[in-house]
Amino acid sequence: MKLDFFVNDEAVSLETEPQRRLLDLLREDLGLTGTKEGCSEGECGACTVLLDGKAVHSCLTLAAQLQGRHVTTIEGLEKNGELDILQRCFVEEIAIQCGFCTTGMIMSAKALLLQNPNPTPKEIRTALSGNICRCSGYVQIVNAVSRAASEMGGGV
Amino acid sequence: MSTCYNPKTMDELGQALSQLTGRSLILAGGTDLVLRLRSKHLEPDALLSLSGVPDLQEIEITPERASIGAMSTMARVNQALDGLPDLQALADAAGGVGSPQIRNKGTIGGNAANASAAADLPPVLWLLNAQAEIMGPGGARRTIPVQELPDGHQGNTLAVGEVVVRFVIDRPPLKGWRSAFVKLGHRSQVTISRIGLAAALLQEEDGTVRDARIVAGAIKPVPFPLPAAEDILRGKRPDPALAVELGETFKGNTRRVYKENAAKGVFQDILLRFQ
Repeated sequence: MKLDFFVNDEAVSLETEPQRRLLDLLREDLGLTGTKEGCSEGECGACTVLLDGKAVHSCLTLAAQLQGRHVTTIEGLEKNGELDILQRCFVEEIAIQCGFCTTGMIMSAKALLLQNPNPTPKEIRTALSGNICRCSGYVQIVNAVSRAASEMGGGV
Repeated sequence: MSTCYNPKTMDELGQALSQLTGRSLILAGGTDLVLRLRSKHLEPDALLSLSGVPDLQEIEITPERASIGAMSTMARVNQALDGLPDLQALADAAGGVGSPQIRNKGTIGGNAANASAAADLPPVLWLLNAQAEIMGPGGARRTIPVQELPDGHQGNTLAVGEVVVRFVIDRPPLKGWRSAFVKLGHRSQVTISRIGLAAALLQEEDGTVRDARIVAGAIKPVPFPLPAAEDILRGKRPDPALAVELGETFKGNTRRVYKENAAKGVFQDILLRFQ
């Protein structure tokens, strides 16, 4: 099928199989390897991207579902060489250990802050409930999202 | 390579449905189908994606009825119904499915048509006597009670080329009722139901239960009502102390002894919702 959609605000046109996963389109066809493949079953959240502004699993999204839609990946957060506030707060709060879950965590957090700029710690935990960190550093991650929210003008 | 149908209108959907065979698959949110495609190495002759039909995502709530397009995601169902006392159980169930990522893609139509025994929305759709509107080849429509959708073997009764397009709940019969759904899983978030309990109560001003409806899910292949539990509640206040007696009504319905005991806790949780 011919697929026309948007990745990080750029129009992309691909000839692809309808059953191809968004995860593979991003990593293999477009070279956007910031999105990680963890469990491939929609459990771990490592492959989280934004689809029309909402957090979804790219491992459970097929090319057949993407016509005309807008995908945002971790690569799309940096603007003019500047890290997104969320990315910077993850670095400064040391909310990263091995880093494998980090891009998914940040995309889930991004989806939350787009919808709710002033989340409570409980709302942050719910928003990140579909993202697993096996290094077990959730406290720093929640702190990083809280701090990003307050720096963006929300405040927790 | 399989054919892919990507209809944009209901008319195009009807035409695409005419092209499907027994080897074709219909793709809603994909949160379950994509897993099955991969684990079972399915090779459908055609894939019909429902993502591009805006009509299937419409939610319309009036005092007379709730009309919920089959492609409404769990997140949108939760958002649209949360706070409506008669329909609260549906908001609860949709809001508790999986993770945020799953709720942003998984759909009410997929959850019901997929007919997993552990699905959260079917017991609530049964409780609220929802009707499922179905479209077939060429756009032909028929409507069935949602109770007739599952086939009892974790599949559905839809014919080849049929798809659920929306659910309709009549609200006048629910006037004055409050509903709730609670589930028991292995953890508080991102969990699969071991018990799903949907309840609707019609209460007097002092809280006394005038009428009750209880439907359980995740126990048998399809949801089932618990008339014995409804009898216990009628004429009483929904006191959590009734939970033990109510939990006893699970006996004989499940081979898993832990569920008989756990049901008491689930009843306690749901009664607290009606205080």
